[in-house]
Amino acid sequence: MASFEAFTCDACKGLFARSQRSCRRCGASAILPVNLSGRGLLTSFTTIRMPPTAFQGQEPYDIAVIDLEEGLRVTARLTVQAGRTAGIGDPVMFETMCPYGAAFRLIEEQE
Amino acid sequence: MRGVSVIGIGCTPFGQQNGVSITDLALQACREALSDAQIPTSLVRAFYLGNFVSEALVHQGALAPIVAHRLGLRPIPCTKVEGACASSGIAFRHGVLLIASGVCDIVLVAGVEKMTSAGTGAVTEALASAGDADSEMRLGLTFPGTFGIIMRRHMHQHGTTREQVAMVSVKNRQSGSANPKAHFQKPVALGEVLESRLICDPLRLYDCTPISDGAAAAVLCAADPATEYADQPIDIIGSGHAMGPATLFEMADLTTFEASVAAAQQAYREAGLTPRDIDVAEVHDCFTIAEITAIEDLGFVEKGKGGPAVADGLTALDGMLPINPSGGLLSKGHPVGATGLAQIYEIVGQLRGEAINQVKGAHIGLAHNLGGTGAVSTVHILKRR
Ligand SMILES: [Zn+2]
Repeated sequence: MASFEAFTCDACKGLFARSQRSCRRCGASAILPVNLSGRGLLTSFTTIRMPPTAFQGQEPYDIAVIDLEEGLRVTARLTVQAGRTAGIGDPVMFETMCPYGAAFRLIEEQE
Repeated sequence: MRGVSVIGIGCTPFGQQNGVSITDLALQACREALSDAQIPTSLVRAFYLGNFVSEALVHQGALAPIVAHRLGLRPIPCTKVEGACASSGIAFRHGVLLIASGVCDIVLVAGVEKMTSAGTGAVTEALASAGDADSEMRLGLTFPGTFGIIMRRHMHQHGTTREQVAMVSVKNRQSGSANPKAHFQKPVALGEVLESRLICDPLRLYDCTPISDGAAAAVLCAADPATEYADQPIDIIGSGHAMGPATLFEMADLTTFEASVAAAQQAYREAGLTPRDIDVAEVHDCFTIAEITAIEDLGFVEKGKGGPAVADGLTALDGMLPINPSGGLLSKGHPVGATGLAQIYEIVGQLRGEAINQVKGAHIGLAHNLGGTGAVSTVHILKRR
């Protein structure tokens, strides 16, 4: 099970998907890496069928907004396994960092 | 602050304009606005030009002074304004501020975009630059994709139906069928929208605006001397301009654009009005679902009630609050940098009583322009004297 690497503010415990010099919430400068479970729920998603030039050939691909169980919201690639259909509220799990960002996949409730 | 009025408007036809350069398009709209205002170019004291992707698509920078020089304006400050699809809403706002603060009496504002000469992939990529390059756009997200995500969420969260969203396209294409300057002048049936090609699920082709060329312009004047130039100056009584997060993951609610809410509150406050006082509005319908979120964010209906409002006819031409009588971007087309001023063009026409789909007794109108993933918005409220 892959954990999802994020960043936390030592002062206000705010969570961020990306490293930054100071906290976006309280302005403190103590930003530490943190490993999240990588588990979350699908908030919404779409299938890109007409990509920008740089992504041509990859279509169709799915992009989702995901709410991680620790409270962090991320936009990421979504892998939907053959035979599955994604729906809002479905559980997802961080899979890997791909060249363009984080990729998540649909999981079974009990997984 | 001094009052500011619109004394002249101009707008080119929107659509594919082969062989017409971006400069020529802007000139056409500006000349029409100056001639409508019946003022000589020597009285124009500043020029703001809204444009988003001229460098990327037609390799033309320094657009504001180039257009101004060819118009015969001499030597005045000329500024290009960029705020994605809200570029000319912002240009308009800056013109208003320059006059309101007493710096000058007459300002020309315009917006222009030339998109059809570039390939669809290049246009998609250029437009995607309004998103956050560090995060979402790196993933391969596009603007239709962004609104596909927003649409699916709106349907889930508020019970909005696929049919209600499609009705926005049916309504606006019906209005646009009467507008000779619209890109599309053919109505569409509900079934055609629902069965059109999937672009970014659940968003389909007829949920999207076409790629277009076009320009629009307005001549602004201090309110007091405005009657010296125009028989019927239209007063700008509220102006709002605000920002919001530029990414989906930073939006607290995927169905609300904070920038629109803030800009609207600012404009209503300045005008001393509420959403109930508006007789007609042009809102930023870059996608069908965007019109639904806009009428909610602008306070015309409660959040989540935008879908039923369309289905019940509230926003129809003969409804309580006609939205996008011009046909909206969905039928006019969306030459991104020109859109905000094309909305002003329609609202001024409505308030003068000379619009094509004239709303009877329109006294107060609103124009709402949105840029990026809700990164920026302008709202203007105009009133006939
Ligand atoms: Zn903090």
